[in-house]
Amino acid sequence: MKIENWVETRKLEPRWGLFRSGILNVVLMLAVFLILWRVFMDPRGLVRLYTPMRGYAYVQWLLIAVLMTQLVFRYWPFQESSFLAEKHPAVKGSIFMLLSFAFVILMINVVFQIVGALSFPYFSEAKLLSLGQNPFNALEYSHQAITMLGGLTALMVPIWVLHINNWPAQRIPKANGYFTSAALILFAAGFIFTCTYHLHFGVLFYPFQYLAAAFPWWEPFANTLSSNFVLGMMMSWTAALWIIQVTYEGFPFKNIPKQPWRAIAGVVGTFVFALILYSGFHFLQEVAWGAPVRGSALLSAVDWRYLHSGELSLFMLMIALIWGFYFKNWPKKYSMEVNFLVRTVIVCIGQSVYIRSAGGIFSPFAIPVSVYNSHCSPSLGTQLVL
Amino acid sequence: MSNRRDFIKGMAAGTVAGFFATKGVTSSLFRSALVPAKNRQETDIGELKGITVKCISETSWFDNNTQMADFKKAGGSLVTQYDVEFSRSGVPNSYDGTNAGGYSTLIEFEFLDGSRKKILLDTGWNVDWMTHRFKEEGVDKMLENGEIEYLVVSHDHYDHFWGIEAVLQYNPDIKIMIPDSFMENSYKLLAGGSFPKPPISNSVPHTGQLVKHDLKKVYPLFPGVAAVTFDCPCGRGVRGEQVLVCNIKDKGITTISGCCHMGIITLMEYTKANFKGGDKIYGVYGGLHVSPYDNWNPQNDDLVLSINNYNVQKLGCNHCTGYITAEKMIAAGVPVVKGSGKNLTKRDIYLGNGDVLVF
Repeated sequence: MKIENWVETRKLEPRWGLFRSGILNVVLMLAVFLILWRVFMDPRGLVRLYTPMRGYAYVQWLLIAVLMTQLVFRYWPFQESSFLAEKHPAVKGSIFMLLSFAFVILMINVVFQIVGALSFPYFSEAKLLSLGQNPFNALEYSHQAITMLGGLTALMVPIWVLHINNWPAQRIPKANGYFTSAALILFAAGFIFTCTYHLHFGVLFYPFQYLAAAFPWWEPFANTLSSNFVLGMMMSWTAALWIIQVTYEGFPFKNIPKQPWRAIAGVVGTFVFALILYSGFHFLQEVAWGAPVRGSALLSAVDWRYLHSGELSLFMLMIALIWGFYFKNWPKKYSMEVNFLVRTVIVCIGQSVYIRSAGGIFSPFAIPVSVYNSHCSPSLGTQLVL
Repeated sequence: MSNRRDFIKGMAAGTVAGFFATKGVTSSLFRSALVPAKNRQETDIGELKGITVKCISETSWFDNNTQMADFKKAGGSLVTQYDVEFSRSGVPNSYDGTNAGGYSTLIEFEFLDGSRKKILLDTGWNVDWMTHRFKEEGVDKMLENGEIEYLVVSHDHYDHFWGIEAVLQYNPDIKIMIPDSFMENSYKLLAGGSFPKPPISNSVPHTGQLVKHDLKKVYPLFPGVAAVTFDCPCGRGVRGEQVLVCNIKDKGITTISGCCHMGIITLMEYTKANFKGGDKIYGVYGGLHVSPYDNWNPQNDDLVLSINNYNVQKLGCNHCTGYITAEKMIAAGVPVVKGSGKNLTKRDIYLGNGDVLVF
């Protein structure tokens, strides 16, 4: 027998009570993270991927591999219940991790190199080097492009699966359908990438392409030429999608049975929620540090404020995911509205606690530069979230 | 049916909550009530008659590709400066085959009573190169004779501080002013330490007065001259930078920086808000930290497009400003002062080694 929706079929129960198991899970996850960071990312470690862009690119595409395996391919070709339901998690995990790593290496080391060699040079470090770019920029810019396309792909997966019902996978037999959906997701991500980030890679070689590099379309209302305006928005949209799905259990969009209304409401609705997060966090930064100033650096920079709005949204998402996965989205016993409200408060408090304590958790063990500028807000009201 | 009702209920609740959330936090009513207004402090630092700036060295390194390759090899952007092994030989167009150069500026202030005082801003990096440049410009004699009042270290980045031996060999007693955020290793270097990896050493321990400037403060130095410290991350483990803010009679405010890691727009905004006469910015000198490796980001265009709003009359940039930035600023009509392109400075588009600028 085949299981097509293993994620929703399986039931994971806490072994030692909800909160004790949840806390253990978080501690274990943090420990695993720190070990992985030290081995793979840290400039003092073994692999030293954190250049930083090379590290971002690999992590981003590993995330896409996980999302695609679960949501788009639904564990194909391992859908037999004798495998999914009965094999030991270590066996299943090893196989899927190997496949995921193979996918990441295939994409970054083969596909993007071909794309770079034949069409868009900025996807390939080797191509940029051959065009005369210096080694540092060739490495960073090529992996930045791969990361940005990856970010958009990671955004498109849940939109496609949750709101567009993984079209056309449900209409085409098995593997053909999965591959078609994956191809459409990549196409959609590529299309948005071309409209947003592509412009910015015109700055790689001087003199720059005037229209491509200097005046992206959002400049008049974003007050910056930086793509951080778009990047922050995409980060907030990713956060909004998953927060609605996890914390608010997909409500209210899951109640729309018919297409295209489900897709339209889902895409527009989550985007509106993303804008609320994005503009809300942007405004909180203004309250904390005053209005941004165009052309300035660090905290006052217009582009950094947009990026940080996206980062704050993702910090919120991280807590929402921890609460959803490890604490089973407690509470569930009250009315839907009360449950949602309590979870929202928990997620907001968790985000604040994380932001206030992140430096202590990660430095100096994970971050070798031990003395960093603290940018905590001087205002009491905004200290909690910034 | 209940699905539809639930959906409509949810959408209505979400829309109302969302409306109030966005309107609430971003409306002009809340904005004016919550966003802090700029505090104007109008610190009066007095006035001086003029300033002469001589660029001793602005070529912190001689080859961008070599420098970036060294950082890449060391492990990327998080590696602290004392853990980087810099290229020791074979660098093209350099002074002695190593990539190390340095940043150092001789500044002479002329006061309203006609008296003059000199200070040195930063030490450079390569001791041999800086010794060579100090001799060429007569700084060695000025240090020996005590003509230079003190050394101001803008921040302890390798190219601004690791040449400390080149200064101390002529005057180990010189008074030194630093931001109170030096790396522990930088204090060791000042006291005569050595670090084999970069490699860097100082065989002449400092024996004079060491003045530590707290971050985020203004320190008057002379009439019309103050050191201002900023709490900003500078990269490679370095934090905090101090700049000089000067008030020239009948001309206006002039800023002199090492790298300007806080950002030149941030610096000018700070000056406007905190100094008497700060609205009128006359001159700018120093590294502006825009494209030190001559690579570009679109947000750098924000700076180029904004800088004319401050009506700077003379802009003497070099060092980490980058040639591309200078080209773009000139194209935008910014009054960038040209140099002579000598003493291993590659181009004359901005002030180079040995060039003089009078404010």
